[in-house]
Amino acid sequence: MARVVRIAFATEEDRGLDSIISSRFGRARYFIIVEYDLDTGSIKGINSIEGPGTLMRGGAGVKTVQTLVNNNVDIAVAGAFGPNALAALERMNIRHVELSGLKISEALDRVIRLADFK
Amino acid sequence: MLEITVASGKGGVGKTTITASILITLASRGYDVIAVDADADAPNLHIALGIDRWDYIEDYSESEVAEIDQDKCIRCGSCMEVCSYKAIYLDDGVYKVNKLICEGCPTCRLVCPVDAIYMVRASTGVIRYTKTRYDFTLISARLEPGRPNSGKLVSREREYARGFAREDSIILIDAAAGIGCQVISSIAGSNATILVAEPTKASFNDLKRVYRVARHFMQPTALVINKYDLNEDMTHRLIKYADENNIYLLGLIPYDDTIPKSISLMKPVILAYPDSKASKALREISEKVVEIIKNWSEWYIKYRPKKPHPYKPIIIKPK
Amino acid sequence: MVMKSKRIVAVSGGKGGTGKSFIAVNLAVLLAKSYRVVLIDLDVEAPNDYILLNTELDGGVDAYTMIPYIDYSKCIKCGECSRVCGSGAIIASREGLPYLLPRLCSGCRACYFICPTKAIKEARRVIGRIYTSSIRLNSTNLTLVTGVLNEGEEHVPPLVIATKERGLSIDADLYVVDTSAGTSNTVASALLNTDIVIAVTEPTPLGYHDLGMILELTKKLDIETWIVMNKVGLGDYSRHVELASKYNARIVAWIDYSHEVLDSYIKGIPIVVLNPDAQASNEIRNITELIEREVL
Repeated sequence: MARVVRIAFATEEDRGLDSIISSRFGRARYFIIVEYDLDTGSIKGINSIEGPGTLMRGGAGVKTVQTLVNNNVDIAVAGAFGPNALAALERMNIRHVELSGLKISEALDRVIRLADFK
Repeated sequence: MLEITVASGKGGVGKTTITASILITLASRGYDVIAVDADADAPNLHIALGIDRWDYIEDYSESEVAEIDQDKCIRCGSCMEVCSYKAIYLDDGVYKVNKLICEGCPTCRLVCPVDAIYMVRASTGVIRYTKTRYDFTLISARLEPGRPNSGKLVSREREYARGFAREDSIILIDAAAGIGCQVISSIAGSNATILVAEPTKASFNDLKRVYRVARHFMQPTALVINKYDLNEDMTHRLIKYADENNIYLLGLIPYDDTIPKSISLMKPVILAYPDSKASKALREISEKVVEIIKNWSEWYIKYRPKKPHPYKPIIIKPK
Repeated sequence: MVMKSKRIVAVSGGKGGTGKSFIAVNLAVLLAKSYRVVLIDLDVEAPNDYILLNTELDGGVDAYTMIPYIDYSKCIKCGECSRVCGSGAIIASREGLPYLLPRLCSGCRACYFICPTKAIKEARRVIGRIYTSSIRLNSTNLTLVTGVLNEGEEHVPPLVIATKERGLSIDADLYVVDTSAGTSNTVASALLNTDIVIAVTEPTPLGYHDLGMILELTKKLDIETWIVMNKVGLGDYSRHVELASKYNARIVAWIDYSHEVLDSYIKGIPIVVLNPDAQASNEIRNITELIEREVL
């Protein structure tokens, strides 16, 4: 059975695999979700969702994690994660990789490698 | 990119003066610095830097407040009963929401049996930035009186700073006094925290508290003792505390009336009175910061807390 | 709820370090000679009044905020609690099971009210401690109530409210409330129902800026405000005077920046006790006389 992981990349633009990974997780404008087959090393699917714009007092990071949970994400990628987001990711068993500035297509291999060791 | 927070716990001990000095010295040594005034409740960094205009001001609205539709209200008083913040009061038989206290939580709205409560957007304050005459950008904010303090506004300022930053930039964050959410937000996410204290019992006490918060967030810390000669005994106790807790002793500044004088001039003391004792000490401190930046990994590894001290809230389960 | 029979004077003032606690403590000590006074330290993030009174904080009681306790046997995994939470303290797993992140919970109880099966019970989280101290200075008795926020706690208002309630529950002729710096809703909450706000400022541009903010807040709260000009000698106060008149706030005391005051700080003895004839002591005495005439 194929091992497929769903990786959510925080981005400020929606340009598919060419999108540059954002430095922030909590209020990233978009999340590009890539379905990646670990066995064949190929992309099975890609879709984008909007980051939750929040009006709430606190916990923007947590709301963002909730969005990822609702989208069955396994790995989250962004430049930096706030402490609340980290706590929520941990609770929900979602791995995270700190990376930004690269295009998704360029970062994919590195993310898979880094996530494996977490 | 490095983010360094300056915090103290107690107000009025010199955070802003010290932050301004380090900023100016680093800038003069060619570093790309960005200043963040994270005290939206009583922002002072722009005054210390003599700024009176802003390149950009943005209305920031992150909160809501509740409002009661008096036509629907049946005066049951449930809203007042459930409000954890005592934001609802009775005025001449009419239930009203005190917008200066209301935190915008959904509770009263949920409890109202006739759906008479709705939420309205409330202005939180402003975020603003400007290029200073010292050639670096200052990001500042001002909380509207009566609005809740939150880490969110500070996070937003930090985002702006990161947006302006290059790979080699140094962001200096002048935190608010206290240890609540706005200070926590200033500390968490930085690379290091500089603690400022004066040799009084009150300041020492507050220093311990903010140090422990910094430690929760795995911050390597450094200490500056301001007005150290006012009480050499207390200064020694502070130094001992730093030593015992692996806090890097960044420097000691003597009491010097050129500091309040320069604040009145709205000019940083190291420029207004460059030969004063305080200025000399501040320059030394800034040079030490330069050294730390140059040898960052080494310093970071040495002064970073060795083991995590997570905050574990004490919870009492229902019977 | 609005108990107008209680006489409350609050000491506040925008900027940190202007001398709020100094004024609050000395006022309380002086007034305690003739009246039953409770001093309430609502600067719960960094309380200092007990230090200025050279006393330790012993005993004390835990202060709580509500935190949801989820009864999973009743939970139908609808996810409403996580959706309604404004602080992001409840997150729902893929299966819809709610999980709590306790540190973020602000105690608003929205989740408790929205749960369709009443699966959320009220548990409590300790957010800090409230100490009640009996201070004895020469032959004067003063009660001090101090709130101390636990380090790592984010939300301040619940402890301010609990500490204020505790202080006001003690029978007294006058309550002196010491607030934190700033003008956020925490300070607004501390200033609720007070008769007079004494705004402490200093003759510096920083003091001026923050004075404007606190006057704006008290104007919105519709509370009469007096001003104390502390640390006179540090700089120019003409703008402060203009501002005071614009807001109809009387300047009731001018305290010189002096070694005597610094000395009392360092010694941990209120100046009205250490040096009753000091300029500062005289000015503070004037304020107490004003309070006697207009509040009590």
